[in-house]
Amino acid sequence: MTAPSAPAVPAGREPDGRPRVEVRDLVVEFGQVRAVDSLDLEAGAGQVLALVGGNGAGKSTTLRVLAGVVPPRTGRARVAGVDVAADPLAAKHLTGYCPDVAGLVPGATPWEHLVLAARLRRLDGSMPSWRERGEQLLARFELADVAHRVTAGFSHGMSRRLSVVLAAFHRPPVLLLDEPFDGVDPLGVDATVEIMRDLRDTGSTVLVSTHLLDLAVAVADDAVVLRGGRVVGRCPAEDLRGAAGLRRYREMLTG
Amino acid sequence: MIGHPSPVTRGGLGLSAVRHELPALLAFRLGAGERRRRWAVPTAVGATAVVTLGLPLVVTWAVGSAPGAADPVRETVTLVLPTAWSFFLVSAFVAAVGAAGGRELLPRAQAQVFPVAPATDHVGALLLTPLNLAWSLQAAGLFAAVGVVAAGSPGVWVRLWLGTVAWVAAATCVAQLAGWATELARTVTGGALLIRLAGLAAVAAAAWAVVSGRAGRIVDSLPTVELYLLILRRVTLLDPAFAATVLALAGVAALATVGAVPLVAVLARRPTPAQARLETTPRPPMPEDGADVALLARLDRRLVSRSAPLRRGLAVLTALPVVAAALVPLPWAGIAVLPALIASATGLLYGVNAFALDGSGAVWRDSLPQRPRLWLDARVLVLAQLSALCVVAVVVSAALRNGTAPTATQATAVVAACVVSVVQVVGRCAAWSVRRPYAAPLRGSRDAPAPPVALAGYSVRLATATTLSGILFALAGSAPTPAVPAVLTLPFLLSAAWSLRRAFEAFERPVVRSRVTAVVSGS
Repeated sequence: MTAPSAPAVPAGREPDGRPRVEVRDLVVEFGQVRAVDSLDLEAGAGQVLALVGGNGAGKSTTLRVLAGVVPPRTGRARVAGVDVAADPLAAKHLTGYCPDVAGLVPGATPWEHLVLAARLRRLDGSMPSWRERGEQLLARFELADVAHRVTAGFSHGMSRRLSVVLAAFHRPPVLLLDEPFDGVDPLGVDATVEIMRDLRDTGSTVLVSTHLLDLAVAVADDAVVLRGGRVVGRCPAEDLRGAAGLRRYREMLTG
Repeated sequence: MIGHPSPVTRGGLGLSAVRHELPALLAFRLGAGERRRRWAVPTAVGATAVVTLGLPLVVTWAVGSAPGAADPVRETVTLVLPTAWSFFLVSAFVAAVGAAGGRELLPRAQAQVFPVAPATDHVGALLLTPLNLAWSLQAAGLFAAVGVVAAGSPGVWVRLWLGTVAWVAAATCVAQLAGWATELARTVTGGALLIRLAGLAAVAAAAWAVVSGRAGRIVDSLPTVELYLLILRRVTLLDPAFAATVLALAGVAALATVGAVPLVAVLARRPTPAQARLETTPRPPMPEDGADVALLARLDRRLVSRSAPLRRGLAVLTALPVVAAALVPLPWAGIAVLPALIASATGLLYGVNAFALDGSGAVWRDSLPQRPRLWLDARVLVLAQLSALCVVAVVVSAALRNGTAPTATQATAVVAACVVSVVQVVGRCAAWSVRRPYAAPLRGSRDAPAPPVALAGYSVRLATATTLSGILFALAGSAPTPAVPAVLTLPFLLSAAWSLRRAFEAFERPVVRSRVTAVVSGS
């Protein structure tokens, strides 16, 4: 006789059957400009989803809404079942965000960034080894030597790498990376791809926005193409590989 | 790039470029608003006329309408005016050093792609000098003194007014030249250390003068005394000695203005070692104990101490008034006004745009799971601490120099003035930081927390509010009971609490917070 089993949850879904990241009819406006226009999006646990599209397509704004730093005008954004607008504090505990701009406090050192994040994320209780994890990540991203230097003197690539470290070091259920490869050297790109895969393999959802289609194809399971604040296409990332994929992508960008 | 030199126009010093570049840069700094541009020049000319001409005329009328009552004030002002002239020169020099030469029409990062001629940079710094609160208040004080000293004597009035105009212009231009020279010295090996030692030596000399009782004699032998007497003694405007003195001062101003341009040109080609040192020196890890707000405040204090313009600003703000207060004995009523000026200046260092401390990291900080209130709590706390520290240093120095024990009412009035000044500044700064954020790097020594026009507005509003309350407490010091100044603090405390509450409520709103972080991070 076998024990009664729990109701089956579809792969990549939360226990309540919802996707890990769920965006419905999202609208974001900045003054007269509608940056995101009735956008729908979802991504499951253990999935890497690439957000691609031209400048001003709404990729960064969508990630900012999910990170809880830009409020939506209408619509809903959920991470791990938490409505970001209704409970931003809980949502921020569930996400790790690498902004598209430098994203670092210029007068603080990388280690001080980690201390601040660890304190506010309450990692002393939930992840006592955060110091070890922080040191490992800084070493993996070749930032260990500058861990106690202020970030104002960092190059663009160093800043990007540290932003990825800060987003990922608490192993968030939802990792939001906005242009993480921008200006980063090949070793930094490798480290970023590696950490995305690590987190995906442990069940995190990764949303990555990038203009580098080859990297999106290499790292993502699926890709969503945005234009004018709307989703104009979704496909397995593999479909955007090579010349044929690029042609298809261009067609989606130009409509 | 660390410590990068700024570009220089290929055409040398760019003396001829001033004509083209200056209007364009001023228009750029005034922003896109057509209305603002149209009113900028009339406003600047009007403000200058009000301070330099309107103020002494009003004071003359006020003194003339109460001839007997104003005599003690007149006597005191007549005696201290030469010292005030000297101190104006010293503080203009210290202000120029504190601003790493002078304020910029165009931030250095932007000047990389839009090179500014050295002459334009220098003239721009001179034009922006009135944005320095210490300079403006002292200049206003010198012009007001004309009305006090020369009331009832039109001939003396005109001569003293002309002399004051010439002295303010000459002192400002010479101080600016000396400021650039000091900044240049800072870029050579060992220069920074030498300048620090010179500063310490000046403070030690001032302390020695006070302790040995020579301060009075030194003040009496200042060269400005001769200059002042020469202006007062002459009978007519056409007197050769008087005319020659005014022309000489004008000539000194012109020579200093032109002479400073080559220094600016050389300086523009030099890297900035102080900034490079700040940005490459390894820092000890931050202690992690204490409550959340304590940790955030600790980080904020570190951010302030690692910002070149804030470090300098705080040093100047503490050292200069402490030395001045130690040299010139002030009555207890005068001491009650000091906190207003010092607290205002602290707010103008960065408090008016406090989230600029986070720079491009503001968006990341907002993505951390924290109550928004906690972030603002820490910022307000640190601003209050710094402001209180500067205020207490100056007031203690002035109190020790005063040498007499205050009455209970005077002591209460001074303490109340300190508390009220700090809370007034903190309340207003919190409100402005949330309502009107600016992208301001606060990285280079000449960086400011807001554009010049906005900063001018903040200066006037802060100085007016705090000075009025300072005067009120100065008057309250002669009240019959200490309860009067104590009770007078209540409306100010309530008003500041109301400002703070509104700032906190606004910052809790995601739309407002999102705008603040987007603006200060430049995204």
